[in-house]
This record gives sequence, structure tokens and C-alpha cells, in this order.
Amino acid sequence: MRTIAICFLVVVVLAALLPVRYEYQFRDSPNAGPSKQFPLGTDDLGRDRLSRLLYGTRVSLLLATAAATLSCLTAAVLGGIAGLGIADTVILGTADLFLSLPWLFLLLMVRAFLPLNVSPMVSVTITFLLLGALGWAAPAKVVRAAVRKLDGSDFMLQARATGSTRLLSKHLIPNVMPILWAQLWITIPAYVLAETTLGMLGLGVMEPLPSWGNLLRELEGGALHPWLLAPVLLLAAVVGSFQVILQREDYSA
Amino acid sequence: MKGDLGYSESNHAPIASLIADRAPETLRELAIGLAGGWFFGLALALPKRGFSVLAGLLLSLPTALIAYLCLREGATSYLILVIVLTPRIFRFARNLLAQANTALHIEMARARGVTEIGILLKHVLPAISPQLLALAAASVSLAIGAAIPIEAICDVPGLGKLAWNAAMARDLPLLVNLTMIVAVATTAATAVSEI
Repeated sequence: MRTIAICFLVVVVLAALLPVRYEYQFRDSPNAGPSKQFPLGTDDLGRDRLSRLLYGTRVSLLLATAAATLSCLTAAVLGGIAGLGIADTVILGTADLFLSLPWLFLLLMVRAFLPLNVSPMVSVTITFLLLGALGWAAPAKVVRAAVRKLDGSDFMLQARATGSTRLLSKHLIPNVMPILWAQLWITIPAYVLAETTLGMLGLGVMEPLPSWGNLLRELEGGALHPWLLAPVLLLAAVVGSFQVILQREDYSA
Repeated sequence: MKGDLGYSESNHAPIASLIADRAPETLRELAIGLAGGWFFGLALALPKRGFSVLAGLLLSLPTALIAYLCLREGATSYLILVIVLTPRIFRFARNLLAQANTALHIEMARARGVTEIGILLKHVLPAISPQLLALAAASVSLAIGAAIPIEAICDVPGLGKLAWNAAMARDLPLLVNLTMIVAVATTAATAVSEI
């Protein structure tokens, strides 16, 4: 948690202090190596790699979090409804339908149905709305199972017997929250990786807007200089930190 | 029902023949990738320590990036799929083995001097076989998902590359057919594991 927060704060502060915008082209120095002016060099269009990395990190981290929040809220509503026995078969069947396809295949198929030649901002919106809209099924099944278990528990029975009118807000939701938090921490790194894969395949965030996905496309050809691996290190640090959080924190309800 | 899957506008060919041409390469890749992933995943999970950090690092990188980096070192698509699947199978298998090893009857067997191999073959593996079967079904889905970026990056003429090309060209009839085939394959794998 601390590593992710530090990464994000450093990125936000440094990106605000950088004198160069991510899309500005230094036409006299394309493919430049690291220097005082360009600590990570420039890309083939002469854009400062450090500026693009910092801005791309903001795009990837912020929007993966937003998409994961959207998925978890959808999962909370649909899983909660199904867990209480309302439209259970329909919701469970739809979730199983979503889960019958490999995640990347589902993303690829639905992305292909949407326009490909769009502005960078529209591509960001499409990519992350897609992630948010398609990723609800697995968390919804977890929430449904938790709600069903809680709904049949002794304390809920007692609350009903004593005539409690705030079953949802006082008893059910507070007990489901730890499960939702765990789902959020699982979903964010999955979406970061999904965006990166889509971006590397040319189906994610469009140029000139940077994201980890399209930044890593630079590794496809040419020489592999150490400074080109900066996005790889940042990505591994952030996703690895999420894995450590999930291993260490106790989210049992 | 005539078995006619339609016509691919982007490839200017019938979809059935495109799939028939590309399927053997992907099936070979999946078979080798799954066999290798399971072999190394289980072999590395059996010792109680080691490989966790490397597995964590590999799990922190997207498949497409692993494919880029391995392709630069001359790895084939088969090997890349093995590298992608191994840490996923390893992590699940290591957790299963760790849980199974804490069972009381296993501690009793160990106290009575049964060898570690005997414990593994007679007590641990039978106890975790249902979960391993479920993982086997999930690994088919994982392998199919990983095949898309690997084939696209390694330029392998398989179904994954076909799906990626169809997505880039917005060839919806081809994508819908591929989706149906993948859905049937993953559902069949899940159904077999539940028998």
C-alpha cells in the first residue's frame, strides 16, 4: 500500500513540476539517449520519455482504479440483489456467460465492436469503461455468495426477529464491505495489466496520449537500452505491491 | 444447420477454412504450453520454498510484455506460453500443497515415519486432486487468453493471431465464430473437470 501511494505521489508531483509536456516534440533530437535535459532520453518522434512515463502512469493508475471501482459497484449491486434471491438465476447465468470466455478474448471481441479510429480521450474512455463494464462478473459471484451466507446467518435472523428495520445498512452492507475491498485490490492490478496488453496490441489508449500499454510498444523493435525498461520496472513495482497487499491483509469478513 | 460459418471479409476466405488452417498450430501451442506449464508449475511448487519472488515478478508483467522480452532472446511461442503459465499454476499449486500439508492425518503420517514421497503420493495428491482438476480447466482458459498476445507478437499463424487481425480489421463475423469456439472449448474444459 505504501509503495503504491509513494509511486503515485511521486508521479503526480514530478509530472506537475516537469517543464515539458508529454506530446511536445523536440524535432532536433529524436531517439536521444539519457541526458540532463532528457533523463530517459527521447522517443523516435523526439518526445521526452520521462514526461510521457509520468503522465502515462497517471493515466493507467487513475483510470484502472476508476474502472475497478465501477466493476466493484456493479458487482455489489448485482451480487447483492442476486444474493437476496431477487433475479438470482438471471444474474448468475449472465455472470457465468461473461466468465465462460477468457478475459482478454472478451475484451478483444467487445473492443472490436466499438470504433477503432477515435480521438485519444475517447479511446481512454472506451478502454476503461470496457474494463469496468466487463469485469463485474467474478466479483459479483463472490458478493452473491457472501450475501447469501450472511442472509442466512444467526445474527440476521435475530435482527429480523427483533423487528430491525435497517437490516441492509446496519447488518448486511458493513459485513460485505471487507469482501468488496478485497475484490477492488484484486481488480485494480488486473485492469492495469489488461490495459497494458490492449495498449501493446494497439487496441488500448491511442497516441499521442501516453499509457503504460503504448509506452511499452517501444520495446517491440530496435535496440533494448536499459532506460527503455523504466516503464517495465514501474509496472512490476506497482502490480507487485498489489500482490503483497493481498497476501498480507486479512479481508475475512 | 449446414455447418457454414460464413465469409471473412478481411481475409477474403470462408471462415471454416480459415479456422481449419489455423487451429492445428494453436492446438499444438496450447498442448505444449499446458504440458510445460503444468510440469514446471508442479515441480517448482513441490519444494516448500523458492521461485516465489520470480513467480511474483512474472505475474506482475502482462503476457504481451513477457512475449516481447522473450522473443528478443529468441524464444519460441511454445516456450513463451510455458513461461506465462508456469507461475500461475505454481502459485495455486503451492498454496494447495501448503494447506494440504497442515492436515492432521498428514502430520500423523509424518510422525509415524512415512517418507515425504509416500505422503505426497498417498495423502496429499489425492486430497487436492479436485482442486487441481478445477485448476486444469482454468488453465485451459488462461492458455487461450495468453495465446492471443503471444501469437500476435510472435507472428504465429494460429487462432490467436486470427482473432487479433479480426479485431483490428473489425471483421465481426469471424470474431463471433472464434468467440463461440473459444466459449465451447472453455465450457467443455470446465464441464470435464466437474465430472
